[in-house]
Order: sequence, then C-alpha cells, then structure tokens
Amino acid sequence: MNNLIIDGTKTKPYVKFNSEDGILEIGGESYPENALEFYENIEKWLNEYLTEICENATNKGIIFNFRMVYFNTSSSKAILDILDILEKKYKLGCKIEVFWYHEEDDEDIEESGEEFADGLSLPYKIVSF
Amino acid sequence: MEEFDLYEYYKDNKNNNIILSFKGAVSQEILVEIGQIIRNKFGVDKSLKKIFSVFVEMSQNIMHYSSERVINPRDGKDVGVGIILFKEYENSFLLTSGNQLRNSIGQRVTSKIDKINELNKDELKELYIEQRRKPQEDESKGAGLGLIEIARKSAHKINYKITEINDESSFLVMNVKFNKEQSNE
Repeated sequence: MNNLIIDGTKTKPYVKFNSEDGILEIGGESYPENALEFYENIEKWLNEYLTEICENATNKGIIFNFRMVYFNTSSSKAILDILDILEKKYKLGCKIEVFWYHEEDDEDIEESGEEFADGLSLPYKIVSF
Repeated sequence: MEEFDLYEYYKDNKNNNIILSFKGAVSQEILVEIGQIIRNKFGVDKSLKKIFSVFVEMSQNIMHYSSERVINPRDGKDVGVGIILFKEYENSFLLTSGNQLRNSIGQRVTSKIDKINELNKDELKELYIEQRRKPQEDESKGAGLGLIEIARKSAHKINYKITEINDESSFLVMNVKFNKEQSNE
C-alpha cells in the first residue's frame, strides 16, 4: 500500500502515514473550513491500511503519533473517529500503540489528550516535550 | 443623505477599548488572517490559546450559521456575514460576535447557551465528551460542540443579547470574557 503524505498548511495538519514502517503521524494546526471533508480520506486510508496490515503475520505493530498544536471542535470529532478506528482494530487483535504529544506548558493540548483517552483500552501514552 | 463621520466612528471604537474589529463576510481567509493577528499579540503565551480557540469557534459559527449570506468569489460557495470585535481592558479581554439568525435558530441557540451557562467546569467537560460521541446533526457543518467549547475556554458565563429584527430574523450578540494572567501569582 502507498504512503499517505499530506503537507500541513495554516489550517490543515500534516499527515505522514508510512505504510512500510507502520509509523503514522498527524500534527500541526487543524481548523479547516470543512473538517469532515478533510479527514474523510485520512480515515479511509487508515481503515484500508489497518485491514491489510493487521491480518499480516509479519506485522511488527503500528505506532500512531498525534502532534497537534491546535484543533477546532469539528477536527476534535474527526480525531475521535481516528481513535475509534484504531481501538476497533486493537480489539480485533492488532498491535497498535498511540502517543499523544504536547508541549510542556500547553495545558489545553495535554487536557484534550487526557479526554481522548476516556474509554480507550489500547496502549495510549501522553508525552510532554 | 447624512454623511458618515469616520472620525467619530474611530473615536467610538477607541473609547470602547476595541483593538480589532471586522464586519463583513467571515470567510476562511479572513478567519486565518485575523486569527494570526490575535496569535501574534500573545506570542508564546500558551494560556492565551484559549482566546484563539474561542475566536475560531465564533468565526466558524458566523461562517456556517449566519442567515445573512454572500457568495465568496474564490470558490463560489456562500459564506456568512457578521461582526467580530476584540476588546482589551486593564484586567481582561473580551471577544464579541454578532450576526443575523433565523428566529427559530436564534431560539435554539439561546436556549442552548442558557443550558450551558448553568453548568460548572466538570459538567461542561462531561457534556462536551457526550456531545462529541453523538452523530452529526442534519444541516450542521460542525460538530455541535462550538458553544460548549466557547464556555469551556472562558472562565465566565457566555453573555448574549438577541434582538428581533422582523418576523424572519434576529440579531444575536455574544460576549466572551477572559481574565488576563496574574503575573505575580
């Protein structure tokens, strides 16, 4: 499967989904005019990729990194959708780890990271930098 | 025709502590530009990101829900018209938004604000998480979370005023206050 690489803009996050090493990262700013439209393709890629890789016995595990700087409420719903996809695959036995990064003095991003952890059973770490 | 006195208007702005104002179509480009000005003002102070968050939600509310709409020549899509003010006082900042709404929507929004204003910090958090789990409302471009987010980012109640214009529409004003950080805490 191809990688999914999207350059970030002032209002859209960058996406670096590397299908070979299984490291998937999204970060930056997210307040596009239409968040649902923007995240639709990302979720579609993720679903297809995980369906393929999780059934592969050689799968060494997926690492998903969130490095958000700011996101609006409709992006927040999309991030929840991504976590739901990851959680669903994890429950089916796929090896997945999630890391939520926040700058040390950024309470808002730290707090939202904690709120996303609510109800998740997959390995999920909040990392300050 | 009475002549518009720009100097009076300027003084009025100044006397009312308005440091930034915009009236017109709130397109995504406008949001980005004004947002940048607000961000630059605060530099690296992360606690003031809360003001930027509220500004984004207010602007996107106008963009999507204002009943006064114009076509954006960039992409041919319609975009909402409204007014946004940013005021600075000695100990606080105030963000104000104003826009027209259909009367039925206006009622829905104000009863939502009333409900939100009764909640404390933890209850707002619960409502936010619960609302985020709900499927998208019809006609809604957002997640129905904007007002809750606005309330969470400000340490004050959302102040509003709604004025009926005619049988069809009303004008909704929302004020959101932020305390300036105490430097010697």
